[in-house]
Order: sequence, then structure tokens, then C-alpha cells
Amino acid sequence: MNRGTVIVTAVLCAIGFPAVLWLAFYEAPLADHPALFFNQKIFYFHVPSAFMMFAAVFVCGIYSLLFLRKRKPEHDEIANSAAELGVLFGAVVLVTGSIWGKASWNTWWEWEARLTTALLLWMIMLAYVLVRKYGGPGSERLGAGLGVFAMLDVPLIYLSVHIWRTVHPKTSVVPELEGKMRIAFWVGVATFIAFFVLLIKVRNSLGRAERLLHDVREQAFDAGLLD
Amino acid sequence: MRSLAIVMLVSAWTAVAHAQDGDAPYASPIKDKCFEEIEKDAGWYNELELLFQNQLFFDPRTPAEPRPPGDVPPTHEPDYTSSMRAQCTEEMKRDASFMAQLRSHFDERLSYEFQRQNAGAFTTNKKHVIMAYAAFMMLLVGFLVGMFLRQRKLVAEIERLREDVKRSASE
Repeated sequence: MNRGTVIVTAVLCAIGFPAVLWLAFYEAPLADHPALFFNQKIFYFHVPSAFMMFAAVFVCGIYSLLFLRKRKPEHDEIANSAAELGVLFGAVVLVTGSIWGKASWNTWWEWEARLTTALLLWMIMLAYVLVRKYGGPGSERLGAGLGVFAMLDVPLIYLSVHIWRTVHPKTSVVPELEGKMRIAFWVGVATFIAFFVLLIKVRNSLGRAERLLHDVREQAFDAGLLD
Repeated sequence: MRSLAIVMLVSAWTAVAHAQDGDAPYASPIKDKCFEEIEKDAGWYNELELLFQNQLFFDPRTPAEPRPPGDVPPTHEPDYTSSMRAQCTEEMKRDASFMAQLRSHFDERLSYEFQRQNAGAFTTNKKHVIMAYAAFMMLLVGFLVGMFLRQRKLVAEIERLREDVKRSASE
């Protein structure tokens, strides 16, 4: 684990999260829409979480491709770490989005394109994690295939609000943010990026420990200590 | 003098033609009184506000759904119920400026500036914001604790196996 990166990102998170809360609740004005008002405050970490879910899926997909090509275990470790983060951020997006939906649409869930494709992506990432955990030997390649497949769902989610008629807001919301709303949002995104890097570093060290355990087990097996 | 006579003649003819066409916009004589009644009748006012807030197409000609007999609304009885409601609704139908004025009134009420000034009234929905932040924190803490426990278990397992291998090699 690169200690310098971990320290820098941890410090950024320690400063960034309170700053985002301050900006979102005390600086950013209320949303100018009767269906939003105060519950729009969920936006400041719902959308950055969605960005991080996409980032995790892309990292997983790219390292899965590298693993399939070069068969280096380091690539597989990073893909596996990113997949777990994809599940984490995906869960945050779905749960907070559902609560926000209840507040502004008066329904916990709507089977519309944006929500359904996001749920599909989360399920693919969950499938990746389960395959890696319980798939046994060879699950790395199977998982890598899933990782690449999941990456292809990301543009579909992004464009879903334009392709189909949905109740979810369009992608133009973020570019149209103004003033302190824009500042609060982008500080949130920067903080979540630092948090993502920190988590992937920490999770990767766990992957290395798993590989080390595998090596030690082989030594123990050779010494006749394990069946 | 001659041109003045022509102008007067043309004006008179235009006024008569206009009146015959029936194009003159209708101006309700009781509009102001209706506004007073709407302000006084809280139930009527809230109903109109809800319609405009939800951006529904408000058509005063559409009759309200008849309430089944015995179906009493759960809300408390308003202090004042206007007797002019039907008459005013008729006037809204006829007077386009009446509807425009109503729309403008409710648009102003729902405007950003109004919300900013009355932010306290709109923060009642903080329950969902707290729920969302709590869910975020729980998921995050759950993930971090899970990762910490897995790390601790792995390190303990590695140490134990290393000790076993060392002991076995020394024997």
C-alpha cells in the first residue's frame, strides 16, 4: 500500500466531507422546484456516488481486460477491489435514490429506464463479487468477463434519460448548476474521488494479504500441515 | 376638418364592427370580490394552490368528482366557506385575465424568492434527507468494518500458518 497516497487521500476526505456538508446545508440555496425543496440536499452525495459507481465499473472493466490479456494477478486484484467498490457505491446510489424518489415522486421505486439499468449494473457487479468469492479456481476469468460486460452498461445508463422517456432528471442538471450549488457539488465530487482512491488502495492491500495467505497455505501444504 | 371627420367615421365603424364580432375581452365585474373570497376560504385557496403547484391544467369547467354519500373528508372544517365559489368559477371560465391573474398569483407564491423567504416551511421534509444520509453512513461504515474484520482475520491466519510452517521446519 502506497502510504503517501493513503495519507493524502485520507486528509482530503477528512477536510472534504465536512466541507461538503457545510456547503450543501448552509451555503447552497434551496432548489427552485416545487418537487425538490429541501430534499434536493440528497443530490450532493447521491450524484457523486453514482459517478464513483461508474468509475469503479470502468476500473474493474479496464483491469479485467488487462487481466484477460496479460494474466497478471495484480490486474485481477485491482479489478476485484473496484468491483466491491462498485457494489458499495451502487448500493448507496440505489438506496439514497429510492429515498429521494419517495420524497419527490412519492414512490420508493419506479420501473423506468434510468433506475432499471442502474439496478442491472449493480446486479452485474454483485454477480462479479459472488463469482469471485464462491466460484473457485478459474473464477478470475469468469469474473473478468463480467467486469467487461458491466462496463458496457455504463453508457446505456448515462444515455437512458435521453433514449427513453423517464421520470429521472436529465443529464443537463449538473452543467446547469449555478453559484454555490455548483461549488458544493464539485467539492463533493472531488472528495468522493479522493475517497474512492483511498478505498481502492485499502481494499487492494486486502487483496495482497489474500494472495499472501494463498502462498503461505501452499507452504503449509508442502510441509504436510494442511490436507 | 374633413380628415377629422374621416378619422371619426373610421373609428366609429371599427368600434361597431368590433362589438358585432364579439371580440372584446370579457372583464368580470366581480373579479376583485372573488379574489377576496378565495383569500378568505382556506379550503378553496389550498385546492387552487395545489392545482397550480402540480402544474396541472386547471380547467374550471371540469366539474369536481362527486363525493360518495357519507364520505366525509378527514380534514377539519374550514373556518369560512365561500358561497360565491360557483359564481366565481363561472367568471373564471369567461374572463381569461382572471385565470391569468390567478396563475400569476400562485406562480409568485411558488417562486424561488418566496421559498427562500419561507424556507422554514419547506424544510419539513428533512425526514427523507436524514434517512438518506443515515443510509449512506450505514453502508459506508458497514463496508469499512467488514474490510477491517477481513484484514484482521487474514493477518491472524497468515501469522498462524507461518508459525506452524516455522515450527514444522525446526522439528
